[in-house]
Amino acid sequence: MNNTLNNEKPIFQQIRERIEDAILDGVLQPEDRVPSTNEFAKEYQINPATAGKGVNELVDKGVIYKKRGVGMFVSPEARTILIAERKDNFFTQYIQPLKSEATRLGISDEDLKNMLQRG
Amino acid sequence: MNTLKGSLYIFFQSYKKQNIVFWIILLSIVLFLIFIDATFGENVKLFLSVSIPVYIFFSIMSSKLLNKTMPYFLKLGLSRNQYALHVGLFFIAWSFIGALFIACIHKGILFSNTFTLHDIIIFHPVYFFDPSLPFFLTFAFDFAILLFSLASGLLINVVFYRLGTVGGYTFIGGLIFIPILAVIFNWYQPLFDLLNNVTFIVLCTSLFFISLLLYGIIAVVLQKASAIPA
Amino acid sequence: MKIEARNVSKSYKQKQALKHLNMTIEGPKIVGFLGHNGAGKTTFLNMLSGLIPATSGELFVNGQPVFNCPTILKDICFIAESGNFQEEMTIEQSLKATSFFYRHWDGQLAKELLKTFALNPKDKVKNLSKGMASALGIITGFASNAPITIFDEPYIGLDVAARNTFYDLLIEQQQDNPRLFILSTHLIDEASDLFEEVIIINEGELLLQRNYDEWHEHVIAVKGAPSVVEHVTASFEIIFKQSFMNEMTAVIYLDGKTIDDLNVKLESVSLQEMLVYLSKQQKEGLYK
Repeated sequence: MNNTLNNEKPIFQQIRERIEDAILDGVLQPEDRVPSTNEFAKEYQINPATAGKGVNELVDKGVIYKKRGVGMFVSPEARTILIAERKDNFFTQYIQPLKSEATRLGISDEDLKNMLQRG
Repeated sequence: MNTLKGSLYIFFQSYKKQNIVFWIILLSIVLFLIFIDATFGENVKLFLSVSIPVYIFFSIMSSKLLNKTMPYFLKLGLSRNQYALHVGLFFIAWSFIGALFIACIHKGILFSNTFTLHDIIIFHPVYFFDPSLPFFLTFAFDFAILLFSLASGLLINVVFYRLGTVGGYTFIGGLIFIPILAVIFNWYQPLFDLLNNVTFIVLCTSLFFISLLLYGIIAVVLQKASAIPA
Repeated sequence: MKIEARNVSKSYKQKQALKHLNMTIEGPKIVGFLGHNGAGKTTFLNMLSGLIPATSGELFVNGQPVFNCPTILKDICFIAESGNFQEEMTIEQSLKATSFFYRHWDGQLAKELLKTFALNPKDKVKNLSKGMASALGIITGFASNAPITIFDEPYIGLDVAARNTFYDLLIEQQQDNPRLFILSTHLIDEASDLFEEVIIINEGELLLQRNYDEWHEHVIAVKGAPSVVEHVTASFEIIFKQSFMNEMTAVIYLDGKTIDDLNVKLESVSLQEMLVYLSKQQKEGLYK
């Protein structure tokens, strides 16, 4: 896990994506404890409110849940939710840029298909 | 109440060193003179003034007080009125202790005089009026004069602080004019008569009230002062 | 706590440091208070802590004018770049003196932090190095527990490790005991992720005030062929523009609008870059 955040996206979004990636990669399993807002703030040296915003978006989506007085945990259905969401975004986030770069380089749709099969 | 305690603590710490140095030097001079008097007492006659150096010391100290303490106190969240009040209370305490020290040193010299052949003669402005004043009244007089020295030193400081160097020296220049005018127009005569005729108590009290008045002026002038001197 | 500047101006002999500033800051939160040298930051902070009067207009905290108001001022702790303490006092005495003036003073924290920053309580302020004096300022600021705590360039002379300690402390304190922290600094890249809100002062005026989260949607660099960029950015306020290798970069305020022209590239602009652009713009007199 890369420990520094960058400037390209809002910080809270990057925090959210860090947690999502950890869940998708299996680093965080269902029912594993997720670091608290405070721990995130300290780890990345970011504003606690910003860290909270990132974490809360995941709580709202049902990816993690809060146990009062104990902390936050990965929900059992976390992976399913995230995969569904990422599939939705796959087209805009990956296919469209791929297509436009291919056009720029003059790669035909046929070549693109071949490349995908090779990759 | 807590802020007053804090203010007095800061004033005490800020002026501790200068006071210790000054009083040690003064005391050593006095002790040295007593020693000279005890050894060569038959041949020399010794004069000594304890109070006048203290007056000068006090006015020098207060003439730098604003630059030294005001920004710090304002940063700690005092209003300018509170600051002026706390400075005033500090001045009263400081003058009281100063006058007490002067009185004690006088006592010490008088005590040493009982052992030596020739006396050390204490020079004190009070003796212009009445050489036979009791101990307590000398103390009261010193207290009033010290307070006055502090207030006038601070007044000079305020003028420089608010008006800058040019304004400050212009003000001092103006002050020098007053005695010259007084001589030209014979103003000093009635003043002299007045001083000759008033009783000592009246003099002390009026000095005290003049200091208070100066102090009020200072507080008003500080009302809008910036923490950064002009 | 709510800070409100209403039409505040401040003139010195030579120049006007603040020009009809109107601004509201509400906390608790960590606010980044930025601008290049001479923009009027320190003047504003001095005024907020009651040190200097405004030439015109007025500054309020919780609805009360700040100037000469002890009930408000004791809730504000201002740590300036330097000159925060009396020269002839020791560190220990300085902390004790300060403790009389802040209602929520945390003596325990002050003691712990002395160890963290490896300061000797018996050292005199006048013998401290720049870094040590900065550390004493930081300790005082945090231990004051003042609802409004202002740090103006608090870490002159401190190394990276000590600065990191400062950032950690800021986060910790904000969690345990939320306050309105106003942090003015030139080390923007280092500190920007700590901000919840960003305020940029330029030429004595409020240039922008934003949640840091919204920063990326607010200020953006548009890159592409000069004619296209000119066209796309025509309706936006341009902060800075430059051409290099037949490519034009225009930094603009997006202001909630979107650009979906595929012929230009959109890139985010960091706070640090933004301030560099601002000072370039000022030097070139592009923007008035």
